[in-house]
Amino acid sequence: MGYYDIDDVLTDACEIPCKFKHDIPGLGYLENNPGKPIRNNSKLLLPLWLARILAIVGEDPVQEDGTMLDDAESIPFVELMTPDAFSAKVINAIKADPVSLDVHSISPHFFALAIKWIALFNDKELAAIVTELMLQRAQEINNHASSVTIDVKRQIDITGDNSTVYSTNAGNLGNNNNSTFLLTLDEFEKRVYKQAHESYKDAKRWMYHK
Amino acid sequence: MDVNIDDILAELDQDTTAVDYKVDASSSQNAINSTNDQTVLNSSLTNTKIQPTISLEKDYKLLLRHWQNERFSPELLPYPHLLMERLLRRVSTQIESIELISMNLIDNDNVDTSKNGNNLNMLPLLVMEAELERVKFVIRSFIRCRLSKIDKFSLYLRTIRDNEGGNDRSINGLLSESEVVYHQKHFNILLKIFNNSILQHLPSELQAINDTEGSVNMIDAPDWDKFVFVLVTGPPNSNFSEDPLLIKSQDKFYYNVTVEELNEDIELTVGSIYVLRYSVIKTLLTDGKVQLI
Amino acid sequence: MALPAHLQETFSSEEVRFLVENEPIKIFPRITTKTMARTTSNNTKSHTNNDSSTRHTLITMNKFPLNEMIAMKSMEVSLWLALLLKQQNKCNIIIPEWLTVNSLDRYVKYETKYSDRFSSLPWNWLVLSKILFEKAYDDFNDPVNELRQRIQDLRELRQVKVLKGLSYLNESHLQLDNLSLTEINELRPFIVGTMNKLREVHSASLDHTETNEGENLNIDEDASFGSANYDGSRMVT
Repeated sequence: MGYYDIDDVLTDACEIPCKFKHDIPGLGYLENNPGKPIRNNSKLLLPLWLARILAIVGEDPVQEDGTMLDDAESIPFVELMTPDAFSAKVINAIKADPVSLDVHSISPHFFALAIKWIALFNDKELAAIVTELMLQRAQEINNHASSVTIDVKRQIDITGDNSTVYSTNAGNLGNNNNSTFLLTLDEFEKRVYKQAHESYKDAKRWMYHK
Repeated sequence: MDVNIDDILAELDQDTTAVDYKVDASSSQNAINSTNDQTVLNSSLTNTKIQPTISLEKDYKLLLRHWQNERFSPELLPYPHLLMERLLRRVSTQIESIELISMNLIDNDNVDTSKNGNNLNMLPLLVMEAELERVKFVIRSFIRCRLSKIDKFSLYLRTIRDNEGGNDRSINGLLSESEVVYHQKHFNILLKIFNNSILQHLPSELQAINDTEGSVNMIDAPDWDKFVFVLVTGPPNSNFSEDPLLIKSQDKFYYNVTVEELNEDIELTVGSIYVLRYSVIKTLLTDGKVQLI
Repeated sequence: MALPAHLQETFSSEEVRFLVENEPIKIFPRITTKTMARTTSNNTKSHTNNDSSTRHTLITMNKFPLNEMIAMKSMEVSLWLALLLKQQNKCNIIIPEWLTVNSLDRYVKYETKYSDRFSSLPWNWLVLSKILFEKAYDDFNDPVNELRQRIQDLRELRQVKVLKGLSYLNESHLQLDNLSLTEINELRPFIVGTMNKLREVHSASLDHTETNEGENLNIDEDASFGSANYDGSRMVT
């Protein structure tokens, strides 16, 4: 987290469908109409960092200098629309079977995006769904992370050498017949999996190490 | 006091160079006196620092506790100045005594090999060396951990300092003298590389590295709400009746804490282990009533 | 980096062992040093060779245990010192009472009986048993392989419970009484990683009620920043 957090930057680059609420001169290049205005009600995918600002700042007769004095009357430049990641289709899939959902293909930064989206709209319902999804999958992630039995013996012989330990880890990722699940993890889940796996492995290595 | 210890060491130094038996005998008495002096010195050292009793054992345990807390806490904890002063002093004294003893052993072996065999002579020295290595390990690991946090929170620590009106008092409490120097130098190097590699090529209004006005704060602060594992130990002196925060109910003692964001109260029973937000137990940690594990 | 990434905010298994080695354990010395020490200190002037022995001091213990040893009279020393003496054949380690077949059977029984709590094994049971099995196997009265089997059983029984307990992760807190340091340490990244994210989801859904929409949209990157500044200023005082 923080200013230099690359995952945070990438999450902010996720594209959000937006609907323009004004005719804006000169902005047509965004939809391949250079020189033309962008029309009211046209829909465009904009990165979250831009969409967010345009959704706050509205048509203001004086100037928009970022002070965000929201007059009740001013209409924001764009209206945010629900991204595919949180569409009804995905929500239903989450409710049906959270563990078999391919979160990574929906968005590599699914959970980070969800947190931003929830914060934008105070979306308690989505928060509850995402929490449940995270919890259910966490159990599965933990199961995978803690199953290091097969590799332990092989690693004992070569402990102390970090590079070899990592290579067996990679091998473990590939050899495991459940690896399809691991391929569905989003970036946050991958990190938790990796850290948990390293930790279980270290404990196990030590326990069986003579 | 420092001078005294140095004097003692100087005396010890002379002992080992003494060859004459008579001189050696008297100086061995000297050595005993000086070891006594040392223990007295140690206790008087603490007396001046308002701690009633000092114990080598307690100090080491305290170091272990500081080490663990520092490793697990998201923020940089205040440097235990007095404790470290004592410990570092002991380490350097010990290094010198080990040197003296091993020199002495070699001398004695030459003069008198009939005694008990080398093994028993060597064992105490072996123990001293093993112990010294262990203490040095903890101190090193502790300091390394702190340095990595100073790196990480370089800007943040600077803000603390600046908020204090530019004087170094508060940051001095947080950092040791050499850490203050390290922080300053590290910060300057960081700034220099930022400047040379990118900032100087940007318009001046975009050169800030500590902008807190934008949508994302540029200064990385500790994650105060990070979850940590906590063992509730109770007051440091184990004097349960004198801790106003400690609540007694039937057969257990507990602290009441509140997770503000959730508006939720949690009972922290002495002897129990919890996973909690750091912010919730921060004060208890500072007061030594809980320990991070 | 001053501290390698894999050691930040957690301990390695070796460091856990290090901590355990500082704990006291009882031993039977096989040699007597105490009387020797006494005579030497009484007759310092007549002995010429004892200036070195009297100068032996430690910096983490108030007494020098090596001068206090009386053969076959039990005494308490740090585990690391016990191991060192053991290695030199200077002592036998007194196996702690909980580390017997009888006692472990009781723990196994407890762990089987209660599915929702852990028995009060010592906080270092895994590490200590492993060390003693390796370094002091000849000091056990019970067959080591039987003990080892029970330790393994206990470990597995407890792991099942831990696994079950993990479905109760939440954004508030967990209570994990009687979990040993090794068990905590291996679970740490998973529990902390998941709970931190649950917290973020939850606090994202809360923020809105406290701030107006404009501000809220502004700080949604990281809900903790608001409180960070608040706490930060408090830290200074």
